Amino acid sequence: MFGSIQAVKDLSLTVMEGSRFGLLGPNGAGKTTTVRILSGLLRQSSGTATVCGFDVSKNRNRVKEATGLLPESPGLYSKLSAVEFLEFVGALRRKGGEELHRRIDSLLGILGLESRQNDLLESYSSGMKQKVLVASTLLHEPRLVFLDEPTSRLDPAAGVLVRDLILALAEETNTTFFMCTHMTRFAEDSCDIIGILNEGSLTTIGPPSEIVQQVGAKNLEDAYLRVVGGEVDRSKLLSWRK
Amino acid sequence: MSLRGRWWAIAKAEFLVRTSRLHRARWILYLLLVGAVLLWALAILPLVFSLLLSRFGDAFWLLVSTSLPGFMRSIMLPVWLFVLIIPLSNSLDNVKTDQWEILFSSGVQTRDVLLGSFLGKLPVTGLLVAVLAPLVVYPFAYAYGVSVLGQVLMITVLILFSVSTIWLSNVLSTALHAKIGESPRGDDIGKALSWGVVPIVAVPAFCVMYWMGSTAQMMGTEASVLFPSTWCADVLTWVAVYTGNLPASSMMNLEAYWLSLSPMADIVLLLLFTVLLFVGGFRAADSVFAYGAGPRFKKIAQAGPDNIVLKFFRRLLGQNFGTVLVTSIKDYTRKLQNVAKIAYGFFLSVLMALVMAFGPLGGPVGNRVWLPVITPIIMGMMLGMLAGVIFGGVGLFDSRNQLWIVKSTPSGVRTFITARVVSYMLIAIPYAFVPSLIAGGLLNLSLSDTFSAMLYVYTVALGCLWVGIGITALNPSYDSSSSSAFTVNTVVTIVISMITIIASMLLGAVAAIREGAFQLALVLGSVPCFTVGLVIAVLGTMRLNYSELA
Repeated sequence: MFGSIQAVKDLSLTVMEGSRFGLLGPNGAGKTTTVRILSGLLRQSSGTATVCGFDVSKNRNRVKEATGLLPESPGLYSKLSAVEFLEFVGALRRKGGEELHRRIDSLLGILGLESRQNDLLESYSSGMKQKVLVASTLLHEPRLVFLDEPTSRLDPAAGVLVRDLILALAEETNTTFFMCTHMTRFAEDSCDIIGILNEGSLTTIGPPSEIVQQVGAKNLEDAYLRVVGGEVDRSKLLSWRK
Repeated sequence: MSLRGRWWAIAKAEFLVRTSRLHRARWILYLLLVGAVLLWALAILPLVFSLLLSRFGDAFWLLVSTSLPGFMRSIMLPVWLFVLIIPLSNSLDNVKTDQWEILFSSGVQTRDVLLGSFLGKLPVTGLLVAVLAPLVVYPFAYAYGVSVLGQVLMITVLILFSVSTIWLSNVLSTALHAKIGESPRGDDIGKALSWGVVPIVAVPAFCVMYWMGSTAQMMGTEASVLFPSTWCADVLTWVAVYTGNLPASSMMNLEAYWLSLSPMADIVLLLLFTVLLFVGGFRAADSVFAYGAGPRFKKIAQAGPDNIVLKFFRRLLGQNFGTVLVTSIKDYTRKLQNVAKIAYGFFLSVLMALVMAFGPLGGPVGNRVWLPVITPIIMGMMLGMLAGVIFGGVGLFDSRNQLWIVKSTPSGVRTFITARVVSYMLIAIPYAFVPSLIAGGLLNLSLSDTFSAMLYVYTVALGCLWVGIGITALNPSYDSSSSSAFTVNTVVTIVISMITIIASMLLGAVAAIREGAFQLALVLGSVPCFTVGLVIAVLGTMRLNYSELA
């Protein structure tokens, strides 16, 4: 509960291993809170949740070992370079040595940051910072990856890159993805199951194409607007000028 | 919107920002504040002064008729620097030029920004001036029996001088914001400068507090005529002399010894100074404050390879903990603001040691028995209390998201905080040792006394450092030094540090008397500080590790 606002209420949800689940919902619906509870960062006031076979209330550290989290906003150390930051995250996860450095080099190369890898992060654009965070989330090869708005700061090319990285990891390594996003196009392309969270409950769940068909919409964005009621009354759009 | 409307809107926004802590009742509370200041200036202060000064009798009259202009110059210098530097330091603590884009994209000129921000600052900074100004005027008014007209004239001169000083502070602040605001390091540089400029006020203030006689003598020399504060002080003196009831002999005495410039020269200099500041500020507005003036090259800082010390720690402490520790050291020492804070701690502690040795208490403490006692105690107190603020406060976590990253790893918080604490303990070694060594050298302490001073200062600094980290972990303020969490943490850290340092001193004194061993007493004396700090740091770590309720 945040003041009089309820952050999540009656959420009941099962995500299959190896799937790519996308949680959609309006601002303040409780998407980020859900991710924080499932990743062991916050305690729920009631109810239970099991992640990778571990109870989030009783086995927080086991949950954290098995998962990776990409937070909503970049929380990087401005005075570290990308390599130093990734070494730091690796050390917190007890990873080190040649293997860690090989992974860091590979990930930074894939994400197009190798030429800037020794620059201090304070000089990075928000998109570049987001890429570093993506790398830090994947560094320890988690079984389940929580991504909170993974592409909100990325340009289209980087967005496609992250989408393909998710698809490849899911296919090749059976990694499960749990993504919160506002980008319906991204969700449609990268998720095999979509859930729409509205007023604390999961009102719709299923494959994107099924949801579109179910509500008789043109695409996922249209379906989303019909479910959460965000359609715009065009006659009112210019009323402020009068 | 007319041109007037633009600066007016900026002034209004600036006022709202500066009084945001008063919230919705800002107008009523501000008026009450003005009332309180008027009560202070018109009723409380005159009463206190007349009660205090009447007790000094003839000694005070002798002082007035011989040296008051010198004291006036000595007081005006730190007051002037205070009004000039402190608002500048406060504004540099939070360098943000994001809103300038909105202003300039709306066709606002730089001079509108200057004028608007200046007028917006005036109501708040003006209150500060209104509190300080009577402190300068009343001793004269009382001593020389200055007429009401004279007092009004003096206050007018002070207001004029204060307004031009606030304007100068605003011009410097705007120029610095424009210069560093666009840089990715701007915020860090600004925070470093906000600490770096404080000694400009602190040195003359300390001189006035502890070496008033020598300072007044120094301010009586020709060189002091170069300070604008001297012109203002002399104009005030002239007004007081000519509108008061000082005997003619005393007037001649003062003129001959102190007042090297004629009243007209002082007034012309003061007016010229004021006019030049305003005209110069407006004229330079569009060229000096070249915010967004087109493409430019940005120098990007790079991380170099680890030095030998960092490599040593990495090897010594293992790959994982060593890496987190080295990261913490790099993160702390690469921030210019932290370097500035540590330098400030050095400066203040050495200054305090000098004050103790050569200030008014220099006589009693000058002997070889008390000097080794008082030096570490004073330096421990100064460096200890500052350590809580320098190593605690902002910087434990830069943002909440950084905390999430650490918390999302198993045992991440414990590892991180332990590494943070150890890294700060390492940085605290030169922080405590260097000033102790300097003081030991300056005060000619023996090697063993210097060594025990170093040890005592370090242990007290450690205790306070742990208090600072623990309090910040209990109530994270992230990187915002303008948040209420930061204010609360700073106050709580200082209060706890002060109490534990005093407890340490008492324990030390008891140990010294009973055991007769000074070095042992000092080390024993740091135990309360050390213990309380450790307990608070552990509590903070546990609190941070605890998952909050959603």
